[in-house]
Amino acid sequence: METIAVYWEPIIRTYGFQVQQGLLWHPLRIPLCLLGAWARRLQEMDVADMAFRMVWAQVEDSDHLKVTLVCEAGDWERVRRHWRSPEGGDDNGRIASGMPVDLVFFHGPHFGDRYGIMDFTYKALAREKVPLVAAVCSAATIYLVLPAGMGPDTRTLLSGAFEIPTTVPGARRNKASADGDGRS
Amino acid sequence: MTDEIAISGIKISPPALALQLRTDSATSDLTPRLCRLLTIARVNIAFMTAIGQAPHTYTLCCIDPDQREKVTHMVDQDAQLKASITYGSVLGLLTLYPHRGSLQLLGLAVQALSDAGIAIYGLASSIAALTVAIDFSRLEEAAALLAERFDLPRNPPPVQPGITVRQEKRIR
Repeated sequence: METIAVYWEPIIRTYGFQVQQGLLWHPLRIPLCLLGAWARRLQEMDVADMAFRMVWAQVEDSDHLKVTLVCEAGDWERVRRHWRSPEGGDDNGRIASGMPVDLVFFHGPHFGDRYGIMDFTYKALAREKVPLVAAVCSAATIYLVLPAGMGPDTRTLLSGAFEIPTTVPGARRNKASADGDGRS
Repeated sequence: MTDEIAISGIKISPPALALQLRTDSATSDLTPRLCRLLTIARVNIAFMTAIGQAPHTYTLCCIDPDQREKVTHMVDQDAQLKASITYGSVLGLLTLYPHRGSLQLLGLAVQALSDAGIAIYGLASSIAALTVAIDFSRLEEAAALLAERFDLPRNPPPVQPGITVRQEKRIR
């Protein structure tokens, strides 16, 4: 059975933007032949209460996967012993302290199924020449990784470009009742 | 080794064509230009990781393989894009949720795929889910493998997508 729905937004809606500051970015280059060993070591970590803020990976060349972790500085101190390639060292052959970054992320109605949202985002960022460290679209979420300190201004910028509905249906109903309007 | 990790469900995607975009010192970051082109072509980005700052960037972008001809035709009009894009194999997106920010969960998923010889082309977390890009031909096998390794509810939600979103130009 096919159901057709028509949906159009003159300005793209989101459920709002979230900013996380004080994060660290840790890329790791792992030989594909040692990926299993690295993954096994991750499971042996005793950091059950630590939560990554973001993680992603890309094949860098035919032999390596580059995995990047974004986490809070406090968590990094507990993870750093384990977040290293089985070959030893990290991305540069040593355990670095990580690059400070901010994270801005957002999602909206069926963001994972709709075209044009990343283009809209890039255009908004380009107007103010916002430098991006990375951009990730996964499921219905868009993550923007920014140099440290740029998160709040970028959120303000994007909030002006996207539409963020400020009225929830329940609130609208209540307001309608208060106004003597019978619509729901 | 940890105990079994509880998750709520696993999803697999329809086929997704991998576009790999690499830029070097001779070009600026072309990722925004690729996204512009995909918007003009009305092609959704099912998954994307774009890392690095100009001049050295690497982007993995997954689109509907049925749109390849249209996208290739448009890319061919842009010499810089054409020179920077490689059309990869047809991938599938394997998503497990929720990840709860757990590195153990990441380790278990990667190890399960690695042990089975299933290549990982890309991976990214969203707010709640962890998505892994693998060969489409091994997607169902991978989902079954992860279902064995993780602790799923007794009646887990279906693995296959429930709805398909198709975007077309509205003709009045």
